[in-house]
Amino acid sequence: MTGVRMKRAYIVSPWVMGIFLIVFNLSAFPQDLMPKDALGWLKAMREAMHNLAYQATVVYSRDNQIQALKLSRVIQEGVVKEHLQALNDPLREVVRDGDKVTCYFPDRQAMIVEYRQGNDSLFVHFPWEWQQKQGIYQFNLGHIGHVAGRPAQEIVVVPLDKYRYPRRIWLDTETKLPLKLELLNHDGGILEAVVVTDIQLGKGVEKIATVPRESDQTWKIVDRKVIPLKDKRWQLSFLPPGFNEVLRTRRLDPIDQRPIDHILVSDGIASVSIYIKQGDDRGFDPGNKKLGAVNTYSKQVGDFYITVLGDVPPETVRAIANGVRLATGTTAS
Amino acid sequence: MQDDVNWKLSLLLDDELDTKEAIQLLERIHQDPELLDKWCCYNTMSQAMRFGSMVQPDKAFMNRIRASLAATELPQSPTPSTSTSTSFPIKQILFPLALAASVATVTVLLTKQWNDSELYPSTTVKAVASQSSDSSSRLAAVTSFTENTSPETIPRQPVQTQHHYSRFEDYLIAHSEGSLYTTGPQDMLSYARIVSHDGR
Repeated sequence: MTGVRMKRAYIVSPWVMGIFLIVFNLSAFPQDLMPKDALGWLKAMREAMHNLAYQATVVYSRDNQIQALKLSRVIQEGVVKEHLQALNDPLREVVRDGDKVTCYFPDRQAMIVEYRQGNDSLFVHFPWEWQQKQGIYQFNLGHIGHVAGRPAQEIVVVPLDKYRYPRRIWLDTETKLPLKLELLNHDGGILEAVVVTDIQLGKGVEKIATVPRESDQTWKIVDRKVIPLKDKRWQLSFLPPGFNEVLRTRRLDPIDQRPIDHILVSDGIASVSIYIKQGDDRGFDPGNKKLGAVNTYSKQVGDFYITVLGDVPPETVRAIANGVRLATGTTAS
Repeated sequence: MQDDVNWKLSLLLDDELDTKEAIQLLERIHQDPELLDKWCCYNTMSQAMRFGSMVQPDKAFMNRIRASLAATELPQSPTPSTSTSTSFPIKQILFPLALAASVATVTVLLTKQWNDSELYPSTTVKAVASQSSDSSSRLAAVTSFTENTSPETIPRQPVQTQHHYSRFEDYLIAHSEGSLYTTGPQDMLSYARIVSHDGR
């Protein structure tokens, strides 16, 4: 009897074990791939955005306006090609081919060509753990829901001071690509949002066109040359905690050919650009112009016109602009 | 032919017409009331596009401007022109045209400001302006608004031209490119701002 029972047990157990393993694998395998915390999710997102090809329809909203966009990204022979096109007027497009970026403006029959400086090694990967430790941002796991019909994990990025905006990011649980992004004001109102409504991955995507719909020889072409700037005659006496200088370049204003110095600072999440142009440029004067979450502030400093622009609150751009100083004992040129 | 004139008007407006053609076109505008209307209209539309509103001054208002321009003596240049190559003095052509276009533009700007005043309520102005359908009295109402409102409550309305918007877009593009150095989901967002920016 005991032998029979043992024999049955011996016969049954592989089936039980097999079924158990299959069930265990089906449920546990994806769980093993899931990042453990919000920072893990953000790292996975960064990885996915660098390595995956996709085509998506995206809805962008700001200031009570909605724009439908088509976003495509492929990697051909190691070169990243991206194409973002507006599907409604003014039908603008941005095409990236490696380090070359071309912006098409059919409404002005103009295209702006810009070359990115340096290579990927210059990319700054801000250590988010450091930001969390320093009390700049807190990264929290939110709910799991659905975006574009796909399961998505919500990540909540909470700034711990008034100098930056909170964000919510929804990441595809399978690919880790961002499916939705919201920039919020401090009252929780949405300043800007990007939502993927449809996404295609893998085969078929690599054949996407990166040629804009219309352009001809009558278009104005602004080919912008940018040179790295080593001198630090312009100093930023105020930066919010966690903000660091990322790059310093000089370009020529395509309108009057005068040099414009550009300093970019970032905390790894938000970025702010400081533009310094010689001369009285009050005719430009964007004042306190606002575009979604992007705020600007301009002021005249001696013979120079300072414009600060970034996806941070108006108080932050104003404070940074007021801290721009010409280093003592130097003259600007 | 008509398209050609429209195209040239557009180029003139954008300061892209060469000098010789510009002078020829200005002569035509000076002599052709319909073309003058169109020129004023183009200026108005251009300003409206830049400032986000489209309020066309009424025809009677424009006629009054034209009549008053006809009755206005042109100012004499303090120094006599030494140029003999141009039979038609360019300043004499430009002055009334520029004045007409400017008046049309100012009307649009003030009307825009009047529209904006609804965002910054000033009940007396709204009451006066909303009861008035006549452009000139609307102008008066707006002037009154401008004079009676403290600078803090008036929205900033810098007079900008098309290329200035290009510079703002230049700044946005450079900012977006720079932001790539920090990488992240904002990549998508920064370029979405550029393609969806309508130049206003």
